[in-house]
Amino acid sequence: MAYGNTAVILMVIAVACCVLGLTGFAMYCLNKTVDQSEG
Amino acid sequence: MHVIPQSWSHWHILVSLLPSVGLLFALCLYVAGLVADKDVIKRACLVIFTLVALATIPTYLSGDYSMTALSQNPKISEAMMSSHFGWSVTALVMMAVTGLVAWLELVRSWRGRPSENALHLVLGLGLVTLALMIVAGELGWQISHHELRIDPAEQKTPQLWSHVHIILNHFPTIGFVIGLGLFVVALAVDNPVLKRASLVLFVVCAILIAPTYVTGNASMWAVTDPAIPGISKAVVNAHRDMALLALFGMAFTGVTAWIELWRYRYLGRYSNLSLYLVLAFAVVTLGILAETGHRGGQINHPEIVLPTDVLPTDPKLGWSPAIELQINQVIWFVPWQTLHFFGFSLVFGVALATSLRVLGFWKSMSFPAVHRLLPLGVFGVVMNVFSGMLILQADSSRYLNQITFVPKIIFLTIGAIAVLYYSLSERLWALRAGEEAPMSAKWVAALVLVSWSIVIMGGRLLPYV
Repeated sequence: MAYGNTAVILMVIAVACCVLGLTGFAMYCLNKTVDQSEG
Repeated sequence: MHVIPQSWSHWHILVSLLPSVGLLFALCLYVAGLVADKDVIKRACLVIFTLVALATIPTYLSGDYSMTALSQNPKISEAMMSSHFGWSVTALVMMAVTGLVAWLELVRSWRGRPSENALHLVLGLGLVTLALMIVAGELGWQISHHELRIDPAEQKTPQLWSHVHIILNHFPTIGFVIGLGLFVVALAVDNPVLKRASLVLFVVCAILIAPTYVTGNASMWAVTDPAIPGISKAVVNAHRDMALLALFGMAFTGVTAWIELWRYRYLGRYSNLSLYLVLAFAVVTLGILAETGHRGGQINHPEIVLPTDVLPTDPKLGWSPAIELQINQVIWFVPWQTLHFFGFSLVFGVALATSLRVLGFWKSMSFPAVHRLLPLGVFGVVMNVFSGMLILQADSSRYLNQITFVPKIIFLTIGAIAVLYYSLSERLWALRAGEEAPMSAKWVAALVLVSWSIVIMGGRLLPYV
């Protein structure tokens, strides 16, 4: 099945946003626990 | 449950791993305990040596009965079995002696400190036993793995992959069993040193699952293209499906364990919630590993297949063939490849920043300040393991036979284990702003940088050489 450029670009953005977003959230949570212990 | 052995050969395949691969893990932990001078680790290892020595009895008995059963099989060489038997008996006797000395020292030093001489004697005996076990094990694999003796000229994918996979797959599984046993004891006696040791074992096993999965993929090509009589691609695919789940399970357990090791540095205590989460992941993963191993055994050990077992016959069924079809479409391949590049940026960026601090750059920062970056790198590794496995499925036969793939996977393993040092070294943790890191840490930092550079170069060269 052939896909248009737009579909591929949207898929790249969607996957990157989801995975990097999850990574960012995990980093935020981890840093928060460590900050609280230091504060 | 059908993974419970029903024949002597099946028992032998399982139990013989304890005095061989189990001994290797016990020795690694023991050396770590001796270097770090942690009495609790030394004692735990003396207990493990004793238990491993006890496993020599069922190993010998199951092996002896298996020989009787397999001698009826015309495909099995009697000379090979005799050679394996001779080396194995020598190795098992040495293991029994090692276990006996370990047990005597454990009893003698019950209320005091273990003697240095006795500990070194156990180490020496263990190393000699390990060398004998390697020879015995190698002769053992050769008995029923006829594919290892196929003429390389007739092969598209070298059988070396199968050989490595047959050996390597036991490391994350047996290491995981030892890690889980130690972890349960650590939780029961509430000992932070044992908790740390078992968390480290989980992380190391999670790292080892990546090369194990990759070598497994290559072995699939080696034993199915061209086809080898007696080996079914449908059975191989059933094993691959479960191996994919094992990869996920190991990754969750390893990352959760690593995060707890990282957090411990700042909090000075373990979170019970996180530890029980690691335990839950580990128990589920152990079940998946058992089924993965069992399905793997069914590929080339007809003697463990029961008449009631229903083996798959359609090589197109299962998740792995479905992923292979799907990932070959641009709309799936390109997003995961993009993510793979994001992952490498994170891994290399964090490895570079932390390693340069250890090597003497940015001395105005303490090591604990730089250490806070590490989770980003670990998340990068996780991203790349998943995206890399998906990308690999697009054309695994071609990727795996490229000359740069092997160094990429070897240095990925070395680089990941070397980074673990940053969260374990007490001397690095004590490194304040303005201070110089010890020379040993600088060597590790150099190894980290070189390893991850080779991983990136090896990966980038894959489509071109």
